Amino acid sequence: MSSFAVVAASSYLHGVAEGEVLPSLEARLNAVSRERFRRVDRFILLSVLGSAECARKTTLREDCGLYLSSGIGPVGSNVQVQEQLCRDHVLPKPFNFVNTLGSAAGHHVAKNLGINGQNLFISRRGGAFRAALTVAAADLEAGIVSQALVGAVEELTLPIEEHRRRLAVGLDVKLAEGSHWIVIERGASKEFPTLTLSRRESTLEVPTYQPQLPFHDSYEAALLTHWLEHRDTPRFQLVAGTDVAGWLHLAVE
Amino acid sequence: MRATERVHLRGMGISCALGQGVGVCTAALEAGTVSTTPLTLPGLNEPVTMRYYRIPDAEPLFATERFDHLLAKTTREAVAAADLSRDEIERLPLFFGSSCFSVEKSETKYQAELREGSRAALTLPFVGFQHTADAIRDELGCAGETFAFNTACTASANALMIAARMIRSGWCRHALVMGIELANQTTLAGFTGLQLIAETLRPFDRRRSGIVLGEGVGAIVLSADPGASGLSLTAGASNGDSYSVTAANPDGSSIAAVQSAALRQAGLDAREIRGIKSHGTASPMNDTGEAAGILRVFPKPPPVCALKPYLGHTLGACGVTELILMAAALERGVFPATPGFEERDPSLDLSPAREASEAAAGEYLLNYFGFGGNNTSLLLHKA
Repeated sequence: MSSFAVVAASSYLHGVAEGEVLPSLEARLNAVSRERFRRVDRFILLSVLGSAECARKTTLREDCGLYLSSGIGPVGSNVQVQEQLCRDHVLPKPFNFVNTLGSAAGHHVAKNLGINGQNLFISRRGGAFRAALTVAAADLEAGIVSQALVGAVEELTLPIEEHRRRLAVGLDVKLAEGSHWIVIERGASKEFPTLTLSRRESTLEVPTYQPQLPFHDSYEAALLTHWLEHRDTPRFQLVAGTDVAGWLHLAVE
Repeated sequence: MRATERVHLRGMGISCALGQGVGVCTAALEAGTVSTTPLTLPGLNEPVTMRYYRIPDAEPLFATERFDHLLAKTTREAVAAADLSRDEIERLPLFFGSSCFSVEKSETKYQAELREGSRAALTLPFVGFQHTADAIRDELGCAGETFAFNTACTASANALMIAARMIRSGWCRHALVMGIELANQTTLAGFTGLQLIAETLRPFDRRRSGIVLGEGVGAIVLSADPGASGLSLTAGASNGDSYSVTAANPDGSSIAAVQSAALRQAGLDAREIRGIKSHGTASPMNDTGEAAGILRVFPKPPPVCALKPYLGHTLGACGVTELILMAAALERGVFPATPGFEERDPSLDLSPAREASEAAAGEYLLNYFGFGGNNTSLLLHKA
């Protein structure tokens, strides 16, 4: 079992109903960043916003590792590039194409925060944040990094009906965009919540925390960071995985 | 397993412009084969043509089934060579890197719906990266966890680095690591739009003018248990350079830092490195930065090679595809030559090997750099 101190956390989650537009991120971005971002997409803005709001709650170390995760990645730029190419029959705009890569968001996050350590983009549908945490935990345990900035970012594209079709999600589910981040360090501390990760091949335990939040592909990250911000139950617990791979038990208290 | 222990290359499989299968590709590499084909991008208002390193198979380049066939064939080769039990295969975690994943399937479906005049034609119907992971897991019948890395041209190098660390940590005993980059219109058109495409790949050459794209699928079974090859990963490091979203700092500082970090992890001195597989994209700025970075760490560099002239720039797959070619050549005692390099660039002061040479036992450094300022260096050990 590995234990880590959660020294900072932040959550941006915005549900969008049918017919609504996406909110401007400008005011929140201006509050945490002096950079003026040009030729970037909403996925990058969400990544920069969330990471900056989290990072200002602590001091990032020089060797801080960046673990940016997403279940579906930069959808908006990919849609734009595919429309330019397949519908309009023209070459994609260079910055649209570059922004289709996950490392573009990681680049802008690192540049904004002034960090230059390990910078990874990790994906898994329905479990991207868990995958990133697993990797970050192994790196912390091995001493590759002494601090990890772990985030999950999910973009929502309009029209929302098309976004629902891509995700195969019905009308009964309210969709959201989100950017959820934590900074973790090795070892437990009385000052901060302690996150424990362990792999056990045991029976499932019932999750202890089930607020009704709007949905995106990194729902686990939304739940965890929501709990860290509200602490409205004594403990947060998540059990996820497969019989073959073993169940990952994640708890924060 | 200790954090500094070697992780073994137990099985490998590859499909690239040199052919299909590790044996075929190694023989072609030793013969100095360089083969590109002309390619015209379909469906654009203005015709776009380029040279391309395509996998020499009989299927149409953009056929959807081709993606599945090449993935399946390459994966089966690696897993068969690793000689894992059924139970070990079932538990295999999958670490894979790509810059395109299955975008070709989305392009094909969207274009078909547009042709049919469907008012509900959906862009990007296959969102995310899981379709590729699921295709591989279905092929093998494995149910381990999946980790998809999307850090541009370092994607599968990072997958290798992290998989090796997870094995060292005891999280798993074996791991399947894949690099995947197959022909798709988004990548070909995107790089054309960036004006980075050249006719010939000439790494570190005075006349270098850009990259030639290629496709490739590589699969490696990493293991805590030694395989027959005597090849292993010693260490790996990665960093981020915020100089530019499309290139590392041309002064070589961040590239030197990542190479030094890999050496430090392994407890090695630069003088102990027997040879360097450069990233060697042949784009003017990238080679400038890489040469500067190598010379900062290796004032008197060991032999340097670049493998992209054999298989093209396989982008997110190059971490795995180039490691396989390098490992297979080293196993046969060969340090590869660098075709395409003819005229020394006096501004770089770095000349890759024009002739193949004998490869001694020891440590070899492999460099990978990508968009986003993502830099990765791996250390490969030949027993």
